[in-house]
Amino acid sequence: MSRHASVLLAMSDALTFTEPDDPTLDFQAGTLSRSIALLTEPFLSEPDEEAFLTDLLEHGWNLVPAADTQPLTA
Amino acid sequence: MTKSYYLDTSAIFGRAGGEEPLRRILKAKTMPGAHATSTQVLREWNRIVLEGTAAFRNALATARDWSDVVAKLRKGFGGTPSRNWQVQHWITNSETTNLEVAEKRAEDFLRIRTRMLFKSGIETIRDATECGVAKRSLEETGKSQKPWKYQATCKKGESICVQPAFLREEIERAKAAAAALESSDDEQHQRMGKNSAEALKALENGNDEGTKGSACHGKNQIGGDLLIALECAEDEVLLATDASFIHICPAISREYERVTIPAEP
Repeated sequence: MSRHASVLLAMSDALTFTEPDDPTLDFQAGTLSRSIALLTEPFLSEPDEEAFLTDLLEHGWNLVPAADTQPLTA
Repeated sequence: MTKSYYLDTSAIFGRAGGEEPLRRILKAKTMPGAHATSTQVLREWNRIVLEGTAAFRNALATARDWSDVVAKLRKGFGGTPSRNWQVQHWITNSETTNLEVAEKRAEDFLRIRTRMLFKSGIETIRDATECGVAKRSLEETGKSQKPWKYQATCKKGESICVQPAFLREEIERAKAAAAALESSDDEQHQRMGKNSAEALKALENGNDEGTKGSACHGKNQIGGDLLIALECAEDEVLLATDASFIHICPAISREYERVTIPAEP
């Protein structure tokens, strides 16, 4: 997976796994706008990608779903 | 102003993807943050997350469809199946039943996401034990049936840490913590205290291997909560969801905050 695809996936997951009523979410911080700008760059370095994920997490976005409390069934 | 926290594995795990009410509390407490943790916590995190990722990728490698993946992840003893399932859930949200997509997501999770989930808000990762296991990552085996492995444990005879020297320096506090655990009403805490006290006695008798290997990383042994708590600094608050620190922290003069899910009204 390219770094561009990874950033896009992280954005999509952040939007999926963060409820709008989460009090820790700082929507005004502009993290998603910055990520769109990042995606227009021709090359993304690992530090760029790390900084983006840090930005998401530090503004309250979730990168994984909450714990699955359903029993494990096939 | 946010307190300066020292995060236990349970707090890092819960903050990243615990049950939603718990996650919100932990995020609120630690944001914005410049907190601390330990390589012993990283070792435990890796044991859950990297071992789970290896199990998931191994299940994907031979699966014909999603039901094969589920069947493989259900195998194992104790808490292993539920931990592996949880990691799978973090990777796919238990929705992506397309095996190719699941593998791409697992690769990405392993490449960057697990690392960033661990270190977000963490300024300091203490390494007083210089734990060699915490430095390990997933390895390719070259076998088609089980292409991935993660070695989450070490053997007593291996020289990949300085844990005995660290415990010798901290022997009085470590013994106090072990005694406090032994006096708990909880059977598991008592066991952890008893095991730790025995390991520390062996160390005091000159046996450097007494606190190593399974005596460190095993269930209810010294390498879990006790060793983690010893690296918490005086001006920090140990943050966890585990109850064992209720006994350990007062015994070693450290502040402790336990986060639990609030009871529904």
